[in-house]
Amino acid sequence: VARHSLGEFEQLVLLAILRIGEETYGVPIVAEIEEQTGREISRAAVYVALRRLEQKGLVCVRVESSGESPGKPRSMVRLMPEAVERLRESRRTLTSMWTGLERVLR
Amino acid sequence: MSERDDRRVARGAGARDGISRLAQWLLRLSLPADARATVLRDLEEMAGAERSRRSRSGMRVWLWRQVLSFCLRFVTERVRERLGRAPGVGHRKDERWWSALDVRYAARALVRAPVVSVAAVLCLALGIALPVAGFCVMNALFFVSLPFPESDRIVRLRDVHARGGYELDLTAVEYERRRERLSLYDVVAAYDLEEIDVALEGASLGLLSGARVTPDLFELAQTPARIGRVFGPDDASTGAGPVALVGESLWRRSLGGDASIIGRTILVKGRPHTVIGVMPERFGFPGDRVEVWLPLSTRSPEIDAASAGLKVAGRLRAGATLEQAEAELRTVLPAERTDVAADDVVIADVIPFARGSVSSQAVGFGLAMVGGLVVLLVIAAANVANLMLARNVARSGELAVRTALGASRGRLITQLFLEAMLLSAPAVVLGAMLARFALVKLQPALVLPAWSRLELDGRVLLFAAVLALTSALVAGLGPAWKATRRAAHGAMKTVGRGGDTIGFGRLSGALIVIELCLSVALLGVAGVFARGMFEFGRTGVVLPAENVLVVQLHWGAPPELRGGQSVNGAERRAAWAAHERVAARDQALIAWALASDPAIRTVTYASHVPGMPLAPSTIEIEGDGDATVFASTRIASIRPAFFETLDVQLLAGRDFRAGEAVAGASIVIINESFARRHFGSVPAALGRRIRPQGNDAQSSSGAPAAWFEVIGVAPDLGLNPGDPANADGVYLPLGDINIAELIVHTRDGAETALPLVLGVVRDVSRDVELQWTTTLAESIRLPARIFRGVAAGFVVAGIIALVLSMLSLYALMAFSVTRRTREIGIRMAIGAPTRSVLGAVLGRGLRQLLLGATLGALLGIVLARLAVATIPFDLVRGGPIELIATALLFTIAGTIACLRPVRRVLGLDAMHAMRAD
Repeated sequence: VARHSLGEFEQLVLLAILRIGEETYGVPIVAEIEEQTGREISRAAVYVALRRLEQKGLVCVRVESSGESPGKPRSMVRLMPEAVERLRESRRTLTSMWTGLERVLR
Repeated sequence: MSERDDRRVARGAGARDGISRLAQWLLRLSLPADARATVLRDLEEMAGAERSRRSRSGMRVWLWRQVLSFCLRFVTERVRERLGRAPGVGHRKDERWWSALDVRYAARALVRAPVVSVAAVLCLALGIALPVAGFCVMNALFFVSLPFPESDRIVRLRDVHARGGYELDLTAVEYERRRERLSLYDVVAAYDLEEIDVALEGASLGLLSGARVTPDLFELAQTPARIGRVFGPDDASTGAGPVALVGESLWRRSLGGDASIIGRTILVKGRPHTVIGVMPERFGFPGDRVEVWLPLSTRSPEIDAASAGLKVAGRLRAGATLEQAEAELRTVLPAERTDVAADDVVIADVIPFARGSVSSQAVGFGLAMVGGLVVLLVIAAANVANLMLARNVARSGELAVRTALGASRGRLITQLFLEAMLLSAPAVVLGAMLARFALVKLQPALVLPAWSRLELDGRVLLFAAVLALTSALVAGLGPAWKATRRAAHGAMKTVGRGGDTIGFGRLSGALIVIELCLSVALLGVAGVFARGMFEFGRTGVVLPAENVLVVQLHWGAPPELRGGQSVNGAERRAAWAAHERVAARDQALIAWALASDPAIRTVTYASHVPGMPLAPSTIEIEGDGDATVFASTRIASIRPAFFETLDVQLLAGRDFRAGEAVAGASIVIINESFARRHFGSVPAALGRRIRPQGNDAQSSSGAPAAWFEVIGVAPDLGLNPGDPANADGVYLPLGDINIAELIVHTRDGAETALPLVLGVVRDVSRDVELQWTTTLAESIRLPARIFRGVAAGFVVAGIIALVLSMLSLYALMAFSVTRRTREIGIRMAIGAPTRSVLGAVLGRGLRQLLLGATLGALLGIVLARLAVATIPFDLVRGGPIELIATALLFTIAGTIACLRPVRRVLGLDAMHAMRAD
């Protein structure tokens, strides 16, 4: 199966999960991206991206039913090792593309 | 409170302030099952965090934006997954489900077939223009809101007589009592609408739409004056100097238009009033377009003499519902109404103010109208669908090649659908422009409230956008689905040998049948009503309409009954009789004063003016021997010289004479239709006897009516303008009454005599209210004009539908002949007779034609029945005959449309045909 590079938004979501550092869910991810990027993002886009990442096997989703609001489960996401690998790859690609352009882009 | 209770309260609050049920339903519909619960929960959590940062309405907007965003993104995602374009493994950026490339490609495909594209755009534009124009009128009439802050809380409180269906007004005392007992309102105000004569420095400004209002009304509307101030409580108290407010348009038009108007004196109803303020242009409240406001006192110990006939408006407290308001009014009602008999039921009714003047019947009629016009769009879209279908067939090779190169079916459908969207986008712009043009022409004929405007606002544009999307769906999706079905199954094998692989027949046939069915139904129903609408208001007699002025004079309720005191039946009757005698005396004085002026030819009074709709009543007709017959007819009451004033000669017998015109005089004049229908001929009617039933049978003394002898026969004078075929009616003598139409035949035109008439009326009585004023020409023209406009709209729509269907049928037949040329050649080559070849080609088209026409006629019958139930006037002149005739017309026109392609078949040479591509 051919591996394709990650989209920018997908990278943002993966990095946010990585920054939070533990199993997390949609709301903190949104908050983290907004805090770090300083721009408002579409909540729905985060959930759609998580779904895609799950289909690509980069995150693992576990449904947790919480005691405080019964009947309303929460989807907890965790990064798969492959996701970290792909992020590394992505950074390598970008860094190599940036190298040597300092003068032009200064 | 237990923990569970806590939770329930929290959940209830969540439902109220949080995600509404509709939003939850939308989310359930759009999100995949495994994501629903978590998204809902997270959304609630996010909303919790947002709530502290936003106002309540801002929060609502934020939540809806989130919900719609979730719905849109997940639906898109699911469509992608369904079409095998899930951007998981193998996803490439250029394989989005649609891209700019698709749009460019679609545009190029449309430009390549300019004739088809232009035809399709024009077709859709026509289909869109009429419903948009219709909806725009509906929007301006029915869905308008008052231009005041939080105007959805402004309501009218009505007492409706259950049996009669009419609204009962209140006296000042009743209003005050009611006001004290109502608790659900921030403000309650009373008002009374009337025509008010205004003069400035001796020059009459004519009769203007006016209102007497309690000062609370301006608090209710929360609208300040444009210049000066609105009424305060002191303006309505006893002893306050008379003051008035004027509307901006009146101020600009006739009062100089500068600020010095404040403090100046104008004559209102013949009395000097000081102008204290100018109300803004679109205020017009509480009538449709009020221009003069006078303060109304309901509290002073000495009640304003004319303070009867009041209507009530209120501003509901925040959170109060119409149901609660109605329930409260119901508890208040029984204690108050002293003017209705014990067995009469009065219904409490609270309605939004802006819709108060529009009946639900009228809304139904309007919706039926717009619905009929939307049918036209469906026809147009079906037509375009057929065009697209034919074009897609011609492009089957291209679609097959794209499939072979790896395009998915979803991609092809998207592209074909985009083409339809590209057609409907300019169509909606063109359609809206056409609608605007039509509305500009139509505007003068429509009577709209001051605060509503005939414009393409957001709601109309949204409606137009929905129409555009609908037309694109109808015109694009079906053909695209059809065209890509075979293409997806490796259709390459036929490419290059000229054959096409797309099944064209069934869908196209179904579209034609639907189109024909709708067209026949539309034109048929238009045919059933058009004649009735066009003939509306025609009397058959030429009346001196431009020279006759009609003013309704109203003397209100007897002064003894205005205070709302409780009186017994006998006292009440006596008070009314005395009051009506006073009114009759004033009427006689006005008539005498006017008749002695050289500018006036004749003056009379009546209960009805020719051309205005009149409800039917039952009468009893004396037959030979003891037998009597009951019949439904129209009854008007007139004073002597009614016919002379209208320049009408009686056909037989004589007019009423002075002195005979008192209730109970047992003579009657009937019209020609009545004479012919019930007595065979005009001369035979004289001396025969009739007796009105129900309310018309009782004189003011309450005694049952005796038999009325026919003393004269008049021509038909528009007693039933809606239905000339049932124009029969009778004229009874008009007795003493507190409300009557003053009919004045002037020498130099009705408009010029208006100041004179107003002057005389005011000289005789300052208390009389002038309800409305018009020339006879206007009173005949107004209802007729509206109906003729509607009828013309429907006939035009029907004819457009006819033309569209015929074009579609022609195109289909021509296309079918072209497509089957080789087959026809083979048939001819192996010796098939021309007749059987023709049968094979034409048979299907004719079958569709007959099926569509028959279904259309049946649908037309159903729709006509529905329309009859909705339209408040009897306008039906046709029936199944009109519908069958329409079906026949379509069949004949359709056969003619098929003729040209048939002639091509007949002219075919078998050898050439077999070689055809």
